[in-house]
Amino acid sequence: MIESILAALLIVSASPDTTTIMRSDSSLRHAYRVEATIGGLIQATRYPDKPTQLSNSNVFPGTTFFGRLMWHPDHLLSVGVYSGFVTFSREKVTAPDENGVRQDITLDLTGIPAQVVFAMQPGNFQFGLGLGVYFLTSHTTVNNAERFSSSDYEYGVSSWLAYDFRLHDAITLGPEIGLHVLSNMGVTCAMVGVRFKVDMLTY
Amino acid sequence: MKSVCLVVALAALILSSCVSELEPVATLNINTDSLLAITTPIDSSSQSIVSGVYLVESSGNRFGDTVAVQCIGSIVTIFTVKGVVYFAMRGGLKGDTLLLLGYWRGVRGPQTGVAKFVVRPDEGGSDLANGKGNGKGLVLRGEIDVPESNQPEPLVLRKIEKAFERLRGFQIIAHRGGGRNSERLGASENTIELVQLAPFFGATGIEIDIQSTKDGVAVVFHDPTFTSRTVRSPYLIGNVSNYTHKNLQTVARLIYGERIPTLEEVLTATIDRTNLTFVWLDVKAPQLTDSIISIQKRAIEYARFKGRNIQIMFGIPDDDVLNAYRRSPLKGTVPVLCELDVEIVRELDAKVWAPRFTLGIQKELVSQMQKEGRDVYVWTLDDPAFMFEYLRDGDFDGILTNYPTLLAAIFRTRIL
Repeated sequence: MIESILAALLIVSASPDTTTIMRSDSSLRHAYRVEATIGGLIQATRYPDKPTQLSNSNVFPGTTFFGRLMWHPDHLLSVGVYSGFVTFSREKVTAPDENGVRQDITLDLTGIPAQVVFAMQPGNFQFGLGLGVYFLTSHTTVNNAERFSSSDYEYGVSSWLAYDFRLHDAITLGPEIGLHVLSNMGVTCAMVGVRFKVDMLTY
Repeated sequence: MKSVCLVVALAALILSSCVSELEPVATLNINTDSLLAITTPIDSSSQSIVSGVYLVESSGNRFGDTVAVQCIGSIVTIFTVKGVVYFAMRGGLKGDTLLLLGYWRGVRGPQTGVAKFVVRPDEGGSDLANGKGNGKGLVLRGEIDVPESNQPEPLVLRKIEKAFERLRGFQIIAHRGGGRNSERLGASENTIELVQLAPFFGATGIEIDIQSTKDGVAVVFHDPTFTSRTVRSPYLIGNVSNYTHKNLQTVARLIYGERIPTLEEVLTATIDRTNLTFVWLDVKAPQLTDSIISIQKRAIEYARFKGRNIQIMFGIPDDDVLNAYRRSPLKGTVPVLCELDVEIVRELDAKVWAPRFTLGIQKELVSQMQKEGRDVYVWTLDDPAFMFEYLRDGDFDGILTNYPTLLAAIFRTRIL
């Protein structure tokens, strides 16, 4: 299913980037570019239910720091890879142990995305979609002493919409909004933040 | 611009295409307290009069032509082959009339509804009140709520014969404590809550799976890892053995909200709160062999103390558990169920041999094992065609299934 959609995406995106050709911006003189983007976003993570019976909510604040490396040919479509570090949630709960003694438990869930991304950039806008996995780690700390963790991976998609203000021939800065969706777990994150984009190589 | 719009639409499709929600099962609000307050529970002789094979005389063939009715203590259950439906109803006698109130539920879908039945004095109610007769011709006259209509649907059942019974006995063993999560049975697999429901599904025994926590506690859980199939908490990922028992007690909730129980808790609940007569311990943590056997021994002693007729078997599914069992100082002190070759079954003097169904009916080997004093249970049969075949052509002492309701209906009505 996803493969066929991506194939369709590639076909409809294969037309030349007329916007690029018509512009006189010096950074766009060459047909092919390699771009690196880094960014930081704050996010709201929504779980399908409260993560534990002791949790107060199913929505948590979190952060995403990311890096994206894109190859942008002379077409609307660009392709690349995406990774970073996502803190989905962090919370502290209090529960009695089997002897009734109060214990403070800190729980957090983090992830490292590893995705192939596809983007389109009409004008100064860019929007894209990433497909791949999130390497997840759950940390548990009891009374700030006993700490253990467990890891696994989960398939997921990310998407973003950004606008670039050009600061320099090869550097742009702009806002970005985005989503992480880990549908098997029912996890959705909405993000907003800023990003820097650097044209690393043009040819 | 057109292509941009198309790509946005495709992206939205991808983002939303991975989630497949199951239809919800309606929550029924049934209060039997007032009924139980005005009725007298039926005794064991009346229970045997009610139990049997019934002809369906109405209901538009929703449940097929015949159904099995069985009393589990004071609860009257009905099992159907068509639709794979079970009923569970409470009630009792008011004078010469039997009144029942409960629910019906399809185990392969979200269909459910309230069910009410009555046995009038002239249609068998007097025989029930007097505890006389075999119940042939007894009429269960009722109505059920159906999802597609606001009007209750009439359902009339007439008893035609006794339910089939096998001379050597027969175990209907429910997989994962009653069935898989995917069947949406109202309780999570491998929990005390599901084990308590298992008899109403038609099971006479259960199979439960044993994993180890980080601190070596035997817990009842099927998979070696947590997934969204089994748990609700996003903090539970990776191996079960990465978490301590204390941590699981605090944060782990299964998909219907239950705790992950310990083996000891499940065995105690099975003995105390059900009439199940068989427990198959599917050991998935060979490193806990000594601990599991110790818990098993305590449970057997506890069941004996409580006067409960129940067999609890240490299951040997593979070479890892076999080798751990061979090395255990407790070897030979508990009854064993072995899924491996018959020579190993003999070497261990296993009480039960449990071959995989793909090995076939194996009539001669099954017969030989039975002559040696062992029971033979085949696993795991979920397809009605295989159930028919293995019941008709085989001579097994029990079958492990995710659909005990279906197996109970086929076995008891004997429509082979």
